[in-house]
Amino acid sequence: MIRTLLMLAFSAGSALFVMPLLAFAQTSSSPVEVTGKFREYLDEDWKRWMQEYPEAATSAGFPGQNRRWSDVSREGIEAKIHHLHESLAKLKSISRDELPAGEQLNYDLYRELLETAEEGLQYGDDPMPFRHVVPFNMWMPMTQMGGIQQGIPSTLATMPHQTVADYEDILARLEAVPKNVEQNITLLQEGLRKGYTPPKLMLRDLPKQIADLIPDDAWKSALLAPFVDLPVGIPDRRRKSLRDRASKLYVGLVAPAFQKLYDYVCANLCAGVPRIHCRDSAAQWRRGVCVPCALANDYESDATADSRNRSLRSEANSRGNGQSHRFDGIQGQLP
Amino acid sequence: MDKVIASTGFKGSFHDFTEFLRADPRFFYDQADDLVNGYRIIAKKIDPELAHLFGKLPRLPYGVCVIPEFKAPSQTTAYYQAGAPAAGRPGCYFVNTYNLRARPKWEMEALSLHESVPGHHLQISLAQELEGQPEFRKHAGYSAFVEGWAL
Repeated sequence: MIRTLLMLAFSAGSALFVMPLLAFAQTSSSPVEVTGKFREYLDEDWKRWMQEYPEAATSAGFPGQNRRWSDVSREGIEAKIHHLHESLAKLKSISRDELPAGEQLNYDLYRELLETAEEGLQYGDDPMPFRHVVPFNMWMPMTQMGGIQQGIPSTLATMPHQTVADYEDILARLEAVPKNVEQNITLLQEGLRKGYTPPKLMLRDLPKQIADLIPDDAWKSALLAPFVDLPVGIPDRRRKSLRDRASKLYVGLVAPAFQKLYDYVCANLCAGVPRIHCRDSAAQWRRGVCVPCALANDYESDATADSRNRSLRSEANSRGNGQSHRFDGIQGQLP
Repeated sequence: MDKVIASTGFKGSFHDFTEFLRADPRFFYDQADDLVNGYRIIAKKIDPELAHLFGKLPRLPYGVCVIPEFKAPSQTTAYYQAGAPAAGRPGCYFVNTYNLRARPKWEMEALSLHESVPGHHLQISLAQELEGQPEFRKHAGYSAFVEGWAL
């Protein structure tokens, strides 16, 4: 199994640029000219996808995108979908037959990626065409195998950690976490409205994963991990400044955002989902197991599942009342 | 399989043997660090064998990394995370140290061959280092090929 940030991350803020329209000659062009224009199209399209999915850019080492998360607002998603349709239309405007054999293979592979992504839109799949194993689903953006509760810390860990500029990028992304979390809560709400929920087993560990990101000892959080061991090449005074800023962002913005996500998931996604009737069509398998999202596995009795649900709701309530895991300040000591 | 069992000197049924594999303490590490080091030893035994089998090897190295604690309970026993030659980031063969009693030693070798080399790391890193190909050919994954190769 492979994991890449192309599939793990789903998150905020993109600066789209308009891809220049490329005029592809359909006739009377030499293979060299057609290949050149085809490659120009591929290069521009790649750049645009990397700008629309900054986490994927970080994963691939594409420069200049490390300060942002993907924009998964309604407008942001619409822009990505528009790009996908536009990209496929442009590809189809290229005459495959005029390309040399090697480029025809590139053409066919790229078209398969774009068409598969376009087909997946009806199921809520993310428009990102560069997928791995299973496409990301916008109506079910979080499970215990993926989502922002894993994607954000994984992306922070994957970003370059060498220079002050690298750490400024990490701080910028930390600052943008609340917006990203809000957008994902909106996606969860949209998914529930549509009647989509992951199989309950896939939600079993989700609340704990979120809670583990915001432990009592904040410096044990994976979200602050990049700031625990700063490179020795950064002067002491600067290191202290970077840590202070990170801790302020964590206390003031990041931890409360994940607290809100935790409360939402417990109160709505896992503990209070009304029974959703299964649909008959096998083609709609992506809609998941249509039963209440009890935090129980499939082998537990209903009574056990009910008991665990009550416990979960109680825990969520106590968190909401500030009785535990409230973020009043940084605790713990840096090693 | 019966012949293989007999060759080990084990006395008992097929069911007894599978239970033995699942439960005998000799097949499990007690310490997380020992498990990780076990994977690292296997990886370093595999690495030089590649020279016998492949004329072209990736420039990008890989390391054995530990799956972070916050997601380990829900993750698979191991997975591969691609590196990025353009960013100077190595590939990572992530291994799970959560619940050591679910990580038998006898699965480690085959798992390492799949996730690191000659499996995912070899194929994906070579793809990333292709010259003259468009970027999507270096980074996009086609599951049938990627997982098929790593088999």
